[in-house]
Amino acid sequence: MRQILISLCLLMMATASRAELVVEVTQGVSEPSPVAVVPFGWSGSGALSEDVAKIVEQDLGRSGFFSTLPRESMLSFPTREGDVYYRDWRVSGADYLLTGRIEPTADGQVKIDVGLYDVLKEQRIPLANDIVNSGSGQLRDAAHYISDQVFEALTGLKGAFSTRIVYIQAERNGDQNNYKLQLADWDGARPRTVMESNEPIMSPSWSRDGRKLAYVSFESGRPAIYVQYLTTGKRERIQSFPGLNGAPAWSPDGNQLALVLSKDGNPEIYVLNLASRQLQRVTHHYAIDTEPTWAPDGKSILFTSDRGGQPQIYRLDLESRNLERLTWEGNYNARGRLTDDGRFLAMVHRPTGGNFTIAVQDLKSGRLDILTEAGLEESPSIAPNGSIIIYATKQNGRGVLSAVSLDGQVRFRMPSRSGDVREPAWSPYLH
Amino acid sequence: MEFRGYILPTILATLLHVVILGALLTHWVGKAEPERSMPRHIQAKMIDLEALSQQSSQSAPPPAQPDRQEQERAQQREEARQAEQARQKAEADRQAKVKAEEQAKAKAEAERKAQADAEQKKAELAAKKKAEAQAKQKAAEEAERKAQAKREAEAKAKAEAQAKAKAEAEAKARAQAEAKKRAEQEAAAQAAKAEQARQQAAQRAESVVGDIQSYINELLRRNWRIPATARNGMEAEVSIRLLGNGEIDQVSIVKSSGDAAFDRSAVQAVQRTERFDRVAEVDPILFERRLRSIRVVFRPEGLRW
Repeated sequence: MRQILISLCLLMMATASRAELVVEVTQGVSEPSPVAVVPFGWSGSGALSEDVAKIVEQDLGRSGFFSTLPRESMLSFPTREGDVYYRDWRVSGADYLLTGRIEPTADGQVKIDVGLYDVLKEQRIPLANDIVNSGSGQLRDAAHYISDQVFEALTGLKGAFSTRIVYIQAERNGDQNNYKLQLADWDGARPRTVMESNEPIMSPSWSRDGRKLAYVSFESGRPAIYVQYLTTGKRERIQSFPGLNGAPAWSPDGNQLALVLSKDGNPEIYVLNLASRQLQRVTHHYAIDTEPTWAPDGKSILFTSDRGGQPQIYRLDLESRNLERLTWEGNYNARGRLTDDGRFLAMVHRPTGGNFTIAVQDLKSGRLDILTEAGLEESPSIAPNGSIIIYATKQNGRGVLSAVSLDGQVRFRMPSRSGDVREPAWSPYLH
Repeated sequence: MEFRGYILPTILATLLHVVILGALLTHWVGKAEPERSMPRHIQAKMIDLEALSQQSSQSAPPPAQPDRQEQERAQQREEARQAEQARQKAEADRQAKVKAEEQAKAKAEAERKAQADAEQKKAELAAKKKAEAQAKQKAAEEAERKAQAKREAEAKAKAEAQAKAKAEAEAKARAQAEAKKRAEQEAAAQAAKAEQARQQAAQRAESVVGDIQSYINELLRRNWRIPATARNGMEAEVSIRLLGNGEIDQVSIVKSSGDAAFDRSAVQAVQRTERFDRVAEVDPILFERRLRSIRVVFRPEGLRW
């Protein structure tokens, strides 16, 4: 009996010692992955209008997920797989490598042949489309498209480089004010005017399908809410009540608009059914309730209210009418925007004794992180993939747009040629 | 335990001894008296006639009183001679008388002695008879006692034998148990020794493996770039096959975190490491057993989210 026990024990120990060694790694380096975007080859005549590789490099670098290898550090400029010497790229410190070859096609278009490589694994990473056809005038679009593909292949997240932003640009010409609703690439390139007025334009908001904008215009002398179709340019005034009409926000299903009206005395949140034009008041408080935004599931509305004495962000469940205060840190939290997964709340945050900053709060843990240095930041808007927050700030007394990655690691400024820029709104995915 | 069983025999034996002692005491007392009354060596042998005559001649002169010289002397001599004769005669008479007395006395003595002897004999006989009877009784008693003793002895012997047998059996059993126990202890001690040796070896191996474990952890930690998509609670498990020189032969995800970038970062951490040099220093058998194939769990802690 004893011997059996002993031999059993030994057997168990023997089998236990056969178990594989397990190493647990709980710490690492929180650095973006280095990517080398090699200048794309061009086999056509003349020079191309855009440096496609440069756009891709900038896209990836600004996402906060990647750092890019400067071209000066590259030992070679391969344009096809056969020319890639992994060892060299490994030495350069790149984890990934992107090569490209642009060729003119018979119909005057171009064909871009790209290759993404895992330098450490010494393997090519397949992309959804290795070959991108583009008009020679749409090289920026092609570049953003390539960026989206690379981003998705490497992070698993859908890239938001082909999305757009709108913002308000105000200029003063002589003694006249000029307001423009501008539409641009996500990086601020290629701006174009959607609507222009001598009276203030405010609070642009994208519909979920990315085809319409709602905004407040004072063109009639008093604030009114308009909806404008981007493709056709057609616009309609959908609501105008006495007093304040402001801050329209599209519901996720696109059928409703949350807005702020003061027709009943003081600013309250209302929900307007766009089809039936039925208006429903959802907040009832003598304090100011404003800046509504929809939760991604459309079941609740977040808004700013000073009912607690200072502006704070609250969540109202539309069905149960339960009200919940979400922010507790600092004496000013306003203009909340949720990521598409509903987890992170970006907002204008003023810490006690501080200035206005952009902060993000993890609604799961309650943790709040300040992403920008104290300034006069306002109007955060989040990229549809949740990776970047764009916001307005002041530079030399002039309004400019800046962006910061959600983890606060990468910040960059949008180019702005002139005027005061404010109230950026990031589009949803456009295709 | 069997003390009670010995009480009766002990009392009986004691009683018997007392009885025998009593009997013997009367015997010893009875016998002592006749011996003491026996005057066998008192007077008879110490008679010396010569010494007696000299004694009488020497003691003669005092009565012969010398009157005149010769006559007196002759007379005296005569007188002396006569006196001497008379004395001698008296002496002889006295001697004869003494002798007769002595003889009579001896005779009486002999008679007395004979009588005493006879008495003594008689007494002795009686004593002897008595002693014999006593002896007989004693013998009978003794026999009885002996028989009793024998019975007792037998019983005792039997009991003892039984006890002895029992004790022996017990002792045997004990000895066997002891031997068995000893054997078991020895076996256990040997097993323990073997186990200890094995454990020591295992401990040594374990400490080597532990070292390698933290070494691998350190290298991977330096080489793991946690992607921005990583969240606390994510976990990816990677299987690594090593070559004897510490080089990484194969690496693959065995348990995905559900996040492609996270999984890739885990694999890349291993690939970026390229080789675990110190693995080459490990004993080949231990390497084969424990390090040829290892698993790494990547589980970030303390991330912002």
